[in-house]
Amino acid sequence: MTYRELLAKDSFWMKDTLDIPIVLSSRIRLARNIADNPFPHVMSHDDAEKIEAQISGVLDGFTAEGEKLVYIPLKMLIPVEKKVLIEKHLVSPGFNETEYARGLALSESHKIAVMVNEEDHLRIQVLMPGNSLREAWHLAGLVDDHLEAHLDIAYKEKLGYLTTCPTNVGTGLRVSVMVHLPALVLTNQVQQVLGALTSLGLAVRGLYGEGSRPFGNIFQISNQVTLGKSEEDTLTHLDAVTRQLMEREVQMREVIRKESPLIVEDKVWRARGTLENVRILETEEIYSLLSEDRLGIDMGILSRVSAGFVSVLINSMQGCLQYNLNKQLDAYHINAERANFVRGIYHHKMSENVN
Amino acid sequence: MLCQNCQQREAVVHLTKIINGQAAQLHLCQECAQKAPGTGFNLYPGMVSDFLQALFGVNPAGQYDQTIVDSQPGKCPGCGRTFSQIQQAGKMGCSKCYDEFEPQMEMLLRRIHGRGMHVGKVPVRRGASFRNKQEIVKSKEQLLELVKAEKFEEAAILRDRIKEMENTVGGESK
Repeated sequence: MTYRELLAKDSFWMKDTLDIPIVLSSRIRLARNIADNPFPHVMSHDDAEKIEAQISGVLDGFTAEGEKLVYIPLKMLIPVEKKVLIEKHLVSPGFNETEYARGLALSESHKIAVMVNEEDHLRIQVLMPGNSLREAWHLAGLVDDHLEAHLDIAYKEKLGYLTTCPTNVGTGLRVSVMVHLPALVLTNQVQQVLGALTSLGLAVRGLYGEGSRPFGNIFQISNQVTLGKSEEDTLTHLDAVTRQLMEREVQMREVIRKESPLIVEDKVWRARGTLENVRILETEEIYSLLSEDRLGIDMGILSRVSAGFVSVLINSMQGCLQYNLNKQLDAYHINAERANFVRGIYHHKMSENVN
Repeated sequence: MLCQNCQQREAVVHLTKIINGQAAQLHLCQECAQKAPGTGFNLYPGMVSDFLQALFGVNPAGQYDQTIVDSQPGKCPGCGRTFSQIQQAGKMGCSKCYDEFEPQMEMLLRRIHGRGMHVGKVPVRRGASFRNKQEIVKSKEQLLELVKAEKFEEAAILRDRIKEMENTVGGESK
């Protein structure tokens, strides 16, 4: 498989999860460093190349549960390919902003993505669809064990894994779930519910992490504390909170179904109508339309479409759209192509129904 | 509790400052806290680096909290970074910085994570002894829980297991 084919495909986490529509994805991230080497933000070009060579040698070709890693040096990629990686959540938004040796070890399904020389020498990420934190943790552990067996990882008995930023020291573990909460937003309950999470040591962010706004009723919830709490406790805590959130969202969906069915029906049908007929579609608009359409599908009001919510959402972003069409577009034409892309998906469903 | 500065308003900000190597508690109202020099209180929410700089003891104007800087003038033998450079960046220079600036880090980590030491995964290559030590810490916590719950039989079994583990941790106990 070429880099182009690898990057163009839908990531495994973008698959639609029919059973648990509220939790869109589960992510595990482990921060690791090689002992006695300068951390990325202070290292020289030579240091960066040395570290990259050392780590890529250990990662390239490694296979965990059928997930084979391919190492991609960042310098091999053109700007739009880097944008695709960010949009698909395979690298952090800041990962491209450097001239130092950096790279990414990526598995074919994109479940595993290991960034080399980001804020830490190693950022192991496992990203899965739906509520699958345990599965993701298991896979991340396999990659971590492999790295530890071949590299001298910076670790202190008292402080655990030593990281560039003291906020990650200890387990180096960031566990996060992406949740879709349209009914809690619609009933003005979301601030209250999510606000309570900060007092439980959890952070709430938008779709693209720190500083990003929560578009499309999608929120990312993650742990804050990494020292003094075991990985198991962190997972259990977030899992419990996620289940609570799901319960609240389901409750609110029942409330609006009973108390104002016509308002919800009108809202989701309007979204469906727009998605089927739109000619110009801006990024912010597609978030809310897809969110409302998804709510309609989840509540059994609207029929399903051929591609899932997250797949349409990510593939209609600027980088993915241009990459898949294989052409550069200005803002006006991007909005037109986005509308074309979405109409195509929604019409495909209609012709399927007719047949 | 009243604000230590104005003695009028309720103290809502509680700071720990290191003055001549000694920890001192400051209890201030919101207004006085914002005016206090070197408290690093004008934070920009969501800006992690600024937030960390403030926790490290850098005030918003970029001036270091002199009391902290002066207490540790050394350089890290691994990367050559001084503690003030680490404060400025809000990031450590290398893994050895954690040893070199241990006292300052201990305080900072407590501010970020609360009290606590690592209780999670141990690298494969660190061998069994680390893992055993962690197992003992966890088991002792479990033992307390069992005693509280008056499950004495289970507690006795666990106590014996802890003794066994203590005897085998790298031969350190006996």
